[in-house]
Amino acid sequence: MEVVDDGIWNRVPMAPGPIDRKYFEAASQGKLIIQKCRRCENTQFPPKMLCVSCGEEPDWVETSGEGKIYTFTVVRRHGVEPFSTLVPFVLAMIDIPEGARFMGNITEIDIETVHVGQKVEAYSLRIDETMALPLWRPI
Amino acid sequence: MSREPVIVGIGLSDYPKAPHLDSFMHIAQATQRALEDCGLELEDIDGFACASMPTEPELHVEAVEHLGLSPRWLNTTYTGGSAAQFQIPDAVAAIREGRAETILFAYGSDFLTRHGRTLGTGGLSIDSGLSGPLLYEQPYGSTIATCYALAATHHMATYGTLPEQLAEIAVGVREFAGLNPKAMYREPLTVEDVLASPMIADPLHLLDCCVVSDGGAAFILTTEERGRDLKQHPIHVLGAAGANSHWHIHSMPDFSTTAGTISSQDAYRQAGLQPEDIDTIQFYDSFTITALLLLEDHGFCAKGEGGGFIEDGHLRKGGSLPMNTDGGSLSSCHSGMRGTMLITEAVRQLRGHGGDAQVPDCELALAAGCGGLLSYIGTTILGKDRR
Repeated sequence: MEVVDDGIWNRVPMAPGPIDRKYFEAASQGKLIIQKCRRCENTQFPPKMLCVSCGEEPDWVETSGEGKIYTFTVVRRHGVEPFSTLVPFVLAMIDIPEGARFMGNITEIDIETVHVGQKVEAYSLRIDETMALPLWRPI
Repeated sequence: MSREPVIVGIGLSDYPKAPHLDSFMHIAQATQRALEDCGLELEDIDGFACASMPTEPELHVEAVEHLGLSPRWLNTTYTGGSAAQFQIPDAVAAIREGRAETILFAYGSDFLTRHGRTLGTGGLSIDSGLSGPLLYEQPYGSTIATCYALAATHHMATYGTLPEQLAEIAVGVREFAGLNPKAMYREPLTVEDVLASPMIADPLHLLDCCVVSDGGAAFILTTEERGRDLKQHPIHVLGAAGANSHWHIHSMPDFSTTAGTISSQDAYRQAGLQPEDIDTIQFYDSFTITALLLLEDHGFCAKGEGGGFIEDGHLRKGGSLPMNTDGGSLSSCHSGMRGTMLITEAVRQLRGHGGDAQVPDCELALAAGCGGLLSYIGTTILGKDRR
């Protein structure tokens, strides 16, 4: 996926722990990754130390970075900067066929026509030299 | 000597705006009023249940000290707005088993006075060094309101639920608020008023969202034997259960179904009751969608049919299943966690003390708390008499 650097990361100061950091580091290299259990093949996201299905330590797998909107909202009021200056914006849950659900913003989209089931692709927004945040846009 | 658990005393602290009280004073005042209500003394209390908001993480142990208690039974389980419902099952067992004689439940918060009205739209967001599961939500501008909006959109897209049907929930609850002199908002509402109020997060309008207020509540649980000699008709706890499906909204398995499907079945089974037996419901109404999902998940209508059920007026004053007869959190009082207030209002109705809002022939009430982001659902069934 494309990695976009707008040079002004101001959303939230990010201090991920060791497992979470791998996800954001992968995003900065253009990869959307999730976990898949080496024993029971359960897929999961967000990442964890153990597979919530069987307790084994899961592996990471790269996904296609494409999915569909499971549900969404258009955020009209927000109490915290910079989001208060970004309204209205789309906040959605995105399902990918590999078996994971992500929260994310859908950008480059008409807020009047955004709908459940709409196909979207991931890209990422640079946080710093080593991390990026996955976002989504219509295909 | 019956050790069956009964609720004997209830009390509310000053609300919805009480700048003269801090959280400890809310708890103390509600406790004083619950003791006065039943005629018990503070020294009778040997069990204590209380949960702390993340904004006051040690409230539960500080409250023990503030009230001068030395409880031999203590439960401080935190599940958000359903904390009381999650604490009741163990309290009931403790009473039956003799681990406690008289248990005080108390909650209070100066939430409005301390934090203002921005809770739902992210005003409490942490802004230093985010870690943990919120890494996958907060960078996207997620707030409490957006989480519930995601569920509302899902229900609408899946089942054809309409904004007008959600709005009808707020209208019905407001009608009851008009009968509560203390409620924060009392002017009658129409569906058109709700739909014309500012959009917060589609499809939830301002009037689909609860108020933010100050307030506290307390109730006292003891044995049926002890309850016989006190001032009020004792109210029986017939069923109590809790269940969870996730904590953060990103891990909710189905955005239209809560764990209330499980907690309600456990509670009905304990009570030997069905949904159609219930006379009034006291539901967590943080947002209109919260009440709709609880309604379906407690079996009052089939999944997906909540919108039509609401439209038929069942939840209104005079309807078959009056809901939130004190004005709920949508119009009356929401000071962070409302689970205790669901119980105090159910007890008021079962005693027949509801005044103009009294549900006729009210013998069975169901309270359902919702904690987190549709995450931890607790169900309590109360009865005027033992069954």
